[in-house]
Amino acid sequence: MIISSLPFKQFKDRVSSSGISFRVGPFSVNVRSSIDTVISGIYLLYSNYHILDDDFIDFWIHLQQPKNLRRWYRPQVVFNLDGFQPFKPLPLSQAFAFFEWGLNWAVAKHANRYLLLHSAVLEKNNRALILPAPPGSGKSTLCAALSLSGWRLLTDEMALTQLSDGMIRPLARPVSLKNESINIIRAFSKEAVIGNIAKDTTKGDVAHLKADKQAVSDQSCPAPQWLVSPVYTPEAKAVLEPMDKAEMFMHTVNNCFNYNVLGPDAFHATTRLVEQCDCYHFSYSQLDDAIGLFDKLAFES
Amino acid sequence: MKNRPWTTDSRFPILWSQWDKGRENESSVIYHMGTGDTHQLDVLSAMILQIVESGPVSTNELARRLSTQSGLDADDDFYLYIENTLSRFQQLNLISHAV
Repeated sequence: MIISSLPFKQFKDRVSSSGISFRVGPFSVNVRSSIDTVISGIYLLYSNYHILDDDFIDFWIHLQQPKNLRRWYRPQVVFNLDGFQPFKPLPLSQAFAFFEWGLNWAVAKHANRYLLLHSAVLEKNNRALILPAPPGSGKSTLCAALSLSGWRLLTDEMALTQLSDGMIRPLARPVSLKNESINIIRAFSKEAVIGNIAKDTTKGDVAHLKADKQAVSDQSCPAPQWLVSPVYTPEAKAVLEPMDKAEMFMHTVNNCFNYNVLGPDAFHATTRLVEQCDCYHFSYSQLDDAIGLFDKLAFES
Repeated sequence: MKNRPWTTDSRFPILWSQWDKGRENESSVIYHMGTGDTHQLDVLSAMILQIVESGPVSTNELARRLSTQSGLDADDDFYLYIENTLSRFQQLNLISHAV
């Protein structure tokens, strides 16, 4: 049973009381909250996720409004993970974004059976395009556009590289869009389903693009084929240039969440990843050009 | 000081990954088990570290072997490069003077 099969009223009651449990990639999550934007955000953007009825849950998440006097003039939201509050409260208007950021953090802190890269991953013909990049490089915008153009979304934020075999485990979740990217993606595709905008966050305005149904349901693990370091460059033509393997290795390490935790295992996993992949620098300004180039790459390989 | 041998610590092996070995664009990364740090090395630096890793070696002997391996003249600039590289490796705790 998927979330959208519940009538909204029933869904809301469940989230507000015991919480709703659902599967996100390899993880099980329970979210409990009475905050309207969290409830409606999950109902809209996680509608295709499978509801879980078992009690074994990886991440118990509770978003609530603190019951202090400040709530009367500056309402806030608190993020609880497994009964702990890892972060300071944020403005209530950012509650859904807080859920997304908190879940990112939970995965990054706990999923050490994977090499975790700050990276988007998309798939075509069972081959994975991995886009490790720091914030501000245009990774999410490119990822959103590719996911709306026939590439399967595996993740916008965190690549899960299996230590056992180097394959990429899907973790399809809403794509985080910031500032101008929100309208760029709205204009890019009529298919784009985008949630409410959280204004004035530390990252600016943030909204999330819904992952399509196939991305959520397809749990097959593609092999890495392309490692690409993307950089949005105003006015630039879309250009892919081969990147030195050692340079890509260091770029990948610099975008790895748990390299120091995994130590030599991370070194071996990164070596395998770099050796498996064709490595490129990529600069672009126009999404259509970028997609054309990646489609050509996928076709020719 | 120049002839005091350099060595790596055998308790903390260095893991290597290398690409395009033997070619002009050869590139290497290493993981040092002692510090947990990863470094990218250029071709000559990698050769220097591999010579030290193979057994205690003085700077002069290292320069002689590197000159033979690389085909580069062992002039003053060559020595300076080696000394700077060894100093950098020492700062990174990759090598030390043999006791």
